[in-house]
Amino acid sequence: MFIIDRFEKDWVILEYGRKTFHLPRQLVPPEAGEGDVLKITVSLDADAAAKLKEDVRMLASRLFEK
Amino acid sequence: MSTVMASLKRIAVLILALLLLAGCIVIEYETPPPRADGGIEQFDSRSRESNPGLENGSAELKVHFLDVGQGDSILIQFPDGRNMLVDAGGNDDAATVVNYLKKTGVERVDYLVGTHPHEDHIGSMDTVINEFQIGEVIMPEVTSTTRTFRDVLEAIDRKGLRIRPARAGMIILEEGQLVARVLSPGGEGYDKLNDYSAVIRLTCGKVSFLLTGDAEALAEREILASGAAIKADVLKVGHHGSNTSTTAAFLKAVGPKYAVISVGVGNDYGHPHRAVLDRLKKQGVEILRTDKQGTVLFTTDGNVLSYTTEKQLTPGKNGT
Repeated sequence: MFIIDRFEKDWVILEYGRKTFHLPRQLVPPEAGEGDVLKITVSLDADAAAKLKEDVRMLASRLFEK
Repeated sequence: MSTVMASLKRIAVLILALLLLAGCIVIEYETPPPRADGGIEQFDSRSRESNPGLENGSAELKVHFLDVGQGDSILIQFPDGRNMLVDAGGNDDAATVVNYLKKTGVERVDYLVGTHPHEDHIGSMDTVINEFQIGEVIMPEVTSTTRTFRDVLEAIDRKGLRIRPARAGMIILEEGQLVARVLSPGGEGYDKLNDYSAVIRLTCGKVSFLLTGDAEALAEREILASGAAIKADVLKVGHHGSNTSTTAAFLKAVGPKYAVISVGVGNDYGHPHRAVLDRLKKQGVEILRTDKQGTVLFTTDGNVLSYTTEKQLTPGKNGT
């Protein structure tokens, strides 16, 4: 379970087991408060990754000596 | 034991009793000094004000602001050997807090205060409860849903302890020249856990400390409105130096000589905030920071107040 321990400036401090970690505040519903439990689902963004890969490949190809 | 030895011992006890009755012997109780490996000796002694009459370690109040990174933990050693711990750092600080208490000679925490249920204040409190004898547990009457908070409650329950609710006006102890009084929370139904922070004013003779937890502007206003005495020589700056706290009106009323900011190196929140540092400087308050100076130890006999820090400031490198 991901439980909101507190808010600090732009961050939400989540408790996961006895570990805490930060999530940007804008990812969390604005009505969320301390003690609320978040359901978190994570999915891959294949298009974004492909674009980044192509961008960096083009930059690197200019910089590596042939 | 032989009968001769036994009777000799009996005579010795009798003589001792007679001497005591005659007022010839005064038995002095001393608080145990920190052990040689306590780390206290490594503290920067240059910043210590001269008070040669107080070096024997007796009849002094010691207030340690532990370096637990981004979090709070304050150990108070009373002159009679009793101890109070106000907060216990975060989840990852258990070894730091427990080892510090042990090397300082603490076996029993007579008063254990959790200022409010945030992880950076109560994270290692369950371990402290499990590792030490505990007297009273004092916390504001509010809960959190976190595992961290539940673990503290379960540790309290396992030891058969109960919790004294921290409320404005509550007196934790009042004996001779020592007084520990709770100034906040003064109400209930607050939106944020920080607003529930147990704020404690600790007085030893003419010297006072104000320990604020993460109290923010709302709590500061309520404390001011309550009319309680809040002047203090040492202010534990609220909420790690966040701009949510240490309002100008509150700071003026406290009028501290020293401000301690308990804060982690390079924390993600920008603590302490520039505006708070500016307010402190404007009022001529000497700032001590655990991220730069490590653990800060204040010592007082009720008249003279002095401090030592674990690390020295390097001018131009980490000066405030």
